[in-house]
Amino acid sequence: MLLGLTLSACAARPPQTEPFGEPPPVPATDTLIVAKPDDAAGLDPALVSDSESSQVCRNLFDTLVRHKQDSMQLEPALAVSWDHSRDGRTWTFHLRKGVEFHDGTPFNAQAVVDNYSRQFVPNHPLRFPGSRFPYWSDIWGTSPSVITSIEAQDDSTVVFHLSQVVAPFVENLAMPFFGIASPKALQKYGRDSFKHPVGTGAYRFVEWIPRERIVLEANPDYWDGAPQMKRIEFRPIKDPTSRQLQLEAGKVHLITGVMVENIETLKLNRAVKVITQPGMNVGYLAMNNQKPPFDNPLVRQAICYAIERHEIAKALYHDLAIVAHSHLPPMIWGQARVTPYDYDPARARELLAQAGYPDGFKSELWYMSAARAYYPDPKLMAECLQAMLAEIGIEVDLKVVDWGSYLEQVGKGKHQMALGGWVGDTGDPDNYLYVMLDSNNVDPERGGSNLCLYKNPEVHERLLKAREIVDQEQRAKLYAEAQVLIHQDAPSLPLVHANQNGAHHPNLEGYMLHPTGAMILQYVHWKR
Amino acid sequence: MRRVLLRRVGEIVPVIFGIALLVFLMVRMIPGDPVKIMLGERASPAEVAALRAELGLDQPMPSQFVSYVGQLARGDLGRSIIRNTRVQEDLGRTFPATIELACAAMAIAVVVGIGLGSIAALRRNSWWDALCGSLSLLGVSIPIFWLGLVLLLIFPATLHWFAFSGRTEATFPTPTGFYLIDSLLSGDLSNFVDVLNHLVLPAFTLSTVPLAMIARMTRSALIDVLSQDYIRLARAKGLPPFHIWWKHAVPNAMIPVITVIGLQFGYLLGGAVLTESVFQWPGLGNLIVEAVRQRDYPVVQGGILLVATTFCLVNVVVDLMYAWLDPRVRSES
Repeated sequence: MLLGLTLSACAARPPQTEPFGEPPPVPATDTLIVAKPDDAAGLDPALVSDSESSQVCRNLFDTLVRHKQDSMQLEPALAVSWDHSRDGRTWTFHLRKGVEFHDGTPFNAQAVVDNYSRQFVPNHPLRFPGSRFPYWSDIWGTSPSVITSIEAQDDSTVVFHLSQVVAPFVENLAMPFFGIASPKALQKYGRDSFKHPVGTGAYRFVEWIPRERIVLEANPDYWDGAPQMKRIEFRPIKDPTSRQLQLEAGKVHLITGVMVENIETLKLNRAVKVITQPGMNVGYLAMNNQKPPFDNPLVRQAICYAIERHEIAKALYHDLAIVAHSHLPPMIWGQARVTPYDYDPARARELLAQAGYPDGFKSELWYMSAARAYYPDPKLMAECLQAMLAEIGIEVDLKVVDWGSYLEQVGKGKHQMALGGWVGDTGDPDNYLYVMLDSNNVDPERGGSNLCLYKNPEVHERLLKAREIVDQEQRAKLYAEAQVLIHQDAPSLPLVHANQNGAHHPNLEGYMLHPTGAMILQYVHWKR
Repeated sequence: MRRVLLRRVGEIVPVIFGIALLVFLMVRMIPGDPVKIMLGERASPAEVAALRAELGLDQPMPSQFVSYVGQLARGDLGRSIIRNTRVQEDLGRTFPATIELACAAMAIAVVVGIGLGSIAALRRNSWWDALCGSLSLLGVSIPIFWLGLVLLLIFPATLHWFAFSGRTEATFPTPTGFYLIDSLLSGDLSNFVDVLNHLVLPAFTLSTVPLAMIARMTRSALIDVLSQDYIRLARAKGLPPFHIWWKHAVPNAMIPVITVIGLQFGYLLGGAVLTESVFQWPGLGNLIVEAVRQRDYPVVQGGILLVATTFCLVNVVVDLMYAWLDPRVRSES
């Protein structure tokens, strides 16, 4: 608390209402210095699962398909076109010709086969001791993998065989974690290839001094045109105040993770351009549907009516968040029309009385020790909810749980109420609704991702069916139906979708925040 | 002297073994599962079990410990379970950074601390004494992260003096890992200046607490010594005050001060986390804290073991310095 107060006090300047400051000089060379909250964990896209690593990898490696810079739409990358068999279980990708990896190895169908096979074929020669492929097992599973085999039909055609229909198949392949590395380099560096990334991307690797800097240089032979920025340096700067000060002083040129309370003032500073955009995330209040009194839908609905979410978005997020009406962020397709649970304490008390708790009850609310993309300050959020629930007679004790064990404990359902949240990996509704609300993800033994331990067979049927068909219109209908059911059951209360924020030098052009959180630096350049 | 050295080094071995056992147990007792953290939020139970077996975490604790000690004996600290880097490599990079910062901070603390403490003792009850007293009170009570941020705001942000964060922006070969030395070896003075520019603020920030402790300890020890008969004799003989202070008072007052210096040095090794985060200093403190958060057992174990060993060695040096300063200690051994 004291730390937070002092940090924000240090960062906050006297309240400004007029623009101030001057833009720092534009760097003489085409160099961009990016300050991020943390260093990369590794630079082999297949091995990492954190955003700091994947943001760097996105610029070193290409995927078969990728998202456009400004939307969730897909565009060709290393594959120029793709099609699927009638049963949706065989996908054929036609590859771009004449592309080379940074080490001169030609990119071809065999490279794709090698890259992906190493992630699920046991004893594959490119699978090294200690290698784990978190996203592969997350998305496709291992033993058995949904992708059963991959074959190179000819030098520029690659075919994927699937054991079942996976509706978001192509969408999933656009994740930076499925970037393709030079098989020759993987062979050469073996277990240490995470330190020697060789891809086909817009930038080539120069050096990585762990915890100090990662340096990339433009790839002059990039198939999509050589980038204008000649050199990129990523620096980990943990402290948000220091990141901001260095940006204002022109020492760094692009930062991520700006403190929401500073954004208003920062916007007035001519030395900085602030960028903000709704994020693909959701923060929600997870009620344990298997523990009384939260096993009663009336109690859950009462809680939904008791929370004034607009006030939360305003006070805690400085309006840099939107009130969530579903677990599905608004930029994702498959939305349902439902009447939101607007703040109505009288109705909440009425529902509590109906449920047999006219005088309320005592309960516990857990929150995590570390800030998340959707909760800049989990403690403050928990205190707000505590105060609002007190209004309808629910006396809430707060309990902080270390982030390291939070998900496990909440996943096992040890909580009564807990703060939950999710940052999507893809733009597919399955990545949200199935993960957070399907009964397949209730696992009291080991801890599942359904943090409200919600089970509804009707919802389950729709979520499962929607996974197995390719037609988007039909799927959207199923997701909408599932959300109506979920909304009635109110297993948890979606609170907000928080914006993602960043800031950069005012003369930097060509940079946009991407809903997936990807950092695309291919188009950035200095306006001189 | 040699016997002091041998005896003290011999005592270290069981201490380090004890620490290895303690760390091993403590790390495994904190709630939270590294396998869960590594595999993410959606790992299937089968994968969790497979990885647990691969890492040997499904073995009973005693056999885990035996294989850990076996590894240690071979000089192998293992690989980070989160990053897959060799623990030796991680420590080899962060340890020199921490030592460099700690030494710089200690140099500031010793010079300024002994100076302030001496002035306070020699000018006892004057406004000098009051000033030194309040400065050292400020030193121990000022929160380090706050001081660090204020310094950032004043120097690099406003006056454009010194660097914001990191160890250097220059590129040069780093054979020793101590950038001050490496930059000198590179033969380019501008590299050295750049490294120094990065070192000043974190070193100063980190020095405040030990500086204050050293100043207070110097003051009280000197006051004690200055009231001794032999000092009175020296004064009566008409020796110049500086000579009395430097030749007769300081060496005798140094024993408790050196104890404090030794203890504070140990604190600088592991306790520099806040300074390291404010100035993004890639040191050992942050490495260990991060590893604890991620339940990266090999890194936590290796890091703490290294800090503990260094701390023990610092204590040996302190003992040797006692012997060097005080003939009585020498003759006892």
